[in-house]
Amino acid sequence: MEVTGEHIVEFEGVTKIYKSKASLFSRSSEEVVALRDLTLNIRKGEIFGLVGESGSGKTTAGRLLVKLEEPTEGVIKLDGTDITKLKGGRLKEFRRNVQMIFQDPYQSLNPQVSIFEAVCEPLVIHGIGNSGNRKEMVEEMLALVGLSPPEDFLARYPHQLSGGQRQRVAIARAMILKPTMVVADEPTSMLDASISAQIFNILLDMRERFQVSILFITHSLAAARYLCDRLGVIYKGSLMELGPSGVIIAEPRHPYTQALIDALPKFGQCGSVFHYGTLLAEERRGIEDGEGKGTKEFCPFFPRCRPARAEKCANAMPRLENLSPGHAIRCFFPARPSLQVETAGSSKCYYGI
Amino acid sequence: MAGSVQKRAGFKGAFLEGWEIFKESLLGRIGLTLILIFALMAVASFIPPMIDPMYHPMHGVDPEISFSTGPSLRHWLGTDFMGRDILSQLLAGARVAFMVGVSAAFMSIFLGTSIGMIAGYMGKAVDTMLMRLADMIMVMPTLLVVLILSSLFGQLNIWTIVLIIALFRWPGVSRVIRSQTLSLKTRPFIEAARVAGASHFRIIFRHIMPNVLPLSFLYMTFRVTSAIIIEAALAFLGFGDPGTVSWGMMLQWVWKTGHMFKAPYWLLPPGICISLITLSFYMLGRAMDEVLDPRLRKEADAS
Repeated sequence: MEVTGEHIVEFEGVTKIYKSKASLFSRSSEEVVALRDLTLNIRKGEIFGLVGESGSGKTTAGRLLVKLEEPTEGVIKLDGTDITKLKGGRLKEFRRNVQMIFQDPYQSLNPQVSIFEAVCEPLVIHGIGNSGNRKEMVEEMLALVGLSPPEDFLARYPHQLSGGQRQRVAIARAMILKPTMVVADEPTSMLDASISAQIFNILLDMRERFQVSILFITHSLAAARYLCDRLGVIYKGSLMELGPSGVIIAEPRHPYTQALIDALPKFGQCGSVFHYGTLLAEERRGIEDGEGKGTKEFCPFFPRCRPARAEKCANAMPRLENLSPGHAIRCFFPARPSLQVETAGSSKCYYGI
Repeated sequence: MAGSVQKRAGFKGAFLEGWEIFKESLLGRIGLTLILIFALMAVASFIPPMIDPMYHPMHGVDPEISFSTGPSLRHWLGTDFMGRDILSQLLAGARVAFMVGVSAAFMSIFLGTSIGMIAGYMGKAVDTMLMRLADMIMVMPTLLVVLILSSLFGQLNIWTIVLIIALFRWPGVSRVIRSQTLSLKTRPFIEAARVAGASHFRIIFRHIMPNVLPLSFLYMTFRVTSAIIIEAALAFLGFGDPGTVSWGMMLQWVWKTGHMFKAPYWLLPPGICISLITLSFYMLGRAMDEVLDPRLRKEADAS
């Protein structure tokens, strides 16, 4: 389907801080900034990839979007309406339009509930269909996610299915309400590579069929390149680079994105593989435990960034700025567009997922 | 409808799987056999009064006997001080024990499970309030409270005693169910239900309850034991329901009429029965514990 210019989701200055409560023995309460001032848009019908390492805040962004958690600051809009203050009937309508596919299919299905009941439950909750045609709707959706013949699966329980089959059930459950927006939180990180590819194809098929927009959260740039139209690279809660996925993979401009590409396993006839080499083997010391701890602003990637210059990067937080229309990075010293060295991703050299 | 058929298949499967493990446990087999014997006794308690009205455990007096006699063909376990048949009293006692034990346990499990799930799921102020209430009730000695109540209001009806036992025995269950709920609450399938738009009511009863019920049933067997013991103690101390023949009541009659050391045929049967029935429910509980918690299973089972 066509990706239109219209925005379905808008994050505007979203910040999420987790506070650990002050206890009897430690007076000071610790704060963890999971997301810092996140601003990005997801277009209608697009698959937007959010890439980052563990603890970077990418999952938090997804959880905020499905209202499993509330932002500390900022506004999240779905189709132009602020979702942070929804209640009652409006909230239920929102729940119908936004669904989530969870990371671990072994945990996201209730072990006591049969496949039929699990997939049917959203229909029951939202009063869609009646006991007669719900069964047909469930069977149709199971067939779409590749569980066929669907009748065979209705009576089974999650423990009788493989991981890939469970994740298909989870996708069917999310898609049965025909949502406009789906958050897929690392849906393949628990599965083998071959199964992952099948799951990606199901997601692509769902986008074609139901015109759904997907926020795809992943730690794998290769998976993101296969699936996503645009990418956001996130590090320690800050969006570092944002742009079309082809451009970001082929010509990354942020040192962190370059480091991520270096980290990808490559195979095939790669010749002499180009390395950006932007990641320091050992972290720089002295920022976080120096004077004025916690008050000083600095680039979050500075401690691990080779091209960084201390006088600037350690003393201010760079802003997200456009390099070209649709491609923005958060760096004082954006790398020059690389000369076309033979990089992975060309015709005979492949990235592993 | 399709749904109901599928559900039965799943629970049946889980049940059979549990039964396989249960069968392996010696404790479980002994416990279950004993419980079945007591259940047979309870059912058989309806027979003697039908044979002859003199075998009625409460009102039936042998017209030819007016004092305690030992076992005979006419009275297999002998008679009590006014000529009532001890065997028929013993059988009636089994019925009362089951009635008291199962109904008090069921009520306290029902209360404990609901309160535990609500406290665990809602958290915050609701949790604090319910759990402090549970703490307060937990530290009150049940027997003492019932003694005080019955000295205030005179003899208590057997169902009042059951109700009081239930009201005082839920906190232990609710603590366990609460902690189980706390760990379930953060599991992704609960979050998945929230994302699908499920109400709190639906999440508690459709998603949390089926996952804590096995634990509730386990605790039910232990609660049966304590309910039977409390009832027996009350009856022995003379605070039981005077209209019911329970084993504790029989012991009280032995003691009150001074037959403690003169009539072992009268003293021993109810004493042994009380010990065995509590022991059998305890053994059943331990075996069920093994079914529910794989860590308790023997090494041999794993290989």
